[in-house]
Amino acid sequence: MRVDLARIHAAVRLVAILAVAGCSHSPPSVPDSAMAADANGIDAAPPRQLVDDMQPLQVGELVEGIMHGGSADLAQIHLEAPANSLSWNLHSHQDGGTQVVYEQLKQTVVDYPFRPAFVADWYILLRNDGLTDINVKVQIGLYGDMTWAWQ
Amino acid sequence: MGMAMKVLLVIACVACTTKPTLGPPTGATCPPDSTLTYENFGKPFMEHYCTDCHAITKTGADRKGAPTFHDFDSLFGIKAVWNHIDETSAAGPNAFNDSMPNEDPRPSSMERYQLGEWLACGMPSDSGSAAR
Repeated sequence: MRVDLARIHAAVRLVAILAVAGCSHSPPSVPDSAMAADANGIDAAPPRQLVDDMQPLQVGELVEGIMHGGSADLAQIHLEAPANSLSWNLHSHQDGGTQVVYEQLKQTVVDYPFRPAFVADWYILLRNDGLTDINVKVQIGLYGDMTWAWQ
Repeated sequence: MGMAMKVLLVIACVACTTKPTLGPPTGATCPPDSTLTYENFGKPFMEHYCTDCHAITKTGADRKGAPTFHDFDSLFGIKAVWNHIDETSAAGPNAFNDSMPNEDPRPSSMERYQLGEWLACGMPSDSGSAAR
């Protein structure tokens, strides 16, 4: 029986790749719009860093996180609440003012790919607009030089 | 100097002197004997000077330009963006920020220093951290 070494090596590489992919922490799902908007395919790869937190929010409570990045960077924002009580807002403070980039009220699941138009600090506010305390899953895939920190 | 040039210079000067809303951090610190709390200072301060626009109950034109999610009718709302409150309305050793409120009534200088102090102290509340 002839052994095709090239095919064996290819199979071994494939198994290794699948094993590594299976062991790694899965990033938040990427909506189609993100892929369409991402001409260079940066988010086809795993993020450089995955923020993966569970954030408790009392009724009416807000918390803020700060990202820093520019047009070459991407934040894949994924939020999950147990009910449609999560409101969130993305804004910046350019030139000493406040510019709202995007916001939604009373969501259960949020998937938002954010590619800044320019280098700046970008602020995310999460608010519990429900009638009970909740825990919000916060997953933010950071691509390029995008950074993240809770306020 | 021609009239057009004078007009341009006036416009340029006005543009140069327009203050941004956010100033530098005040650098205020918390004295160990501070007695300021949400109940005896923070809440009445916000109700007197801020929540006419910065309230979750205000929408659209009633906010008079106040950005959404920046509501100071709860301690939660203040704590979420306390650093920006410091940068717009408070005073301390490093800055005297008075861009907000942008209409009367406006806080006195002493009240702005007290605001800086209360923020620097972590916005204490008599009823704990969850005052609403």
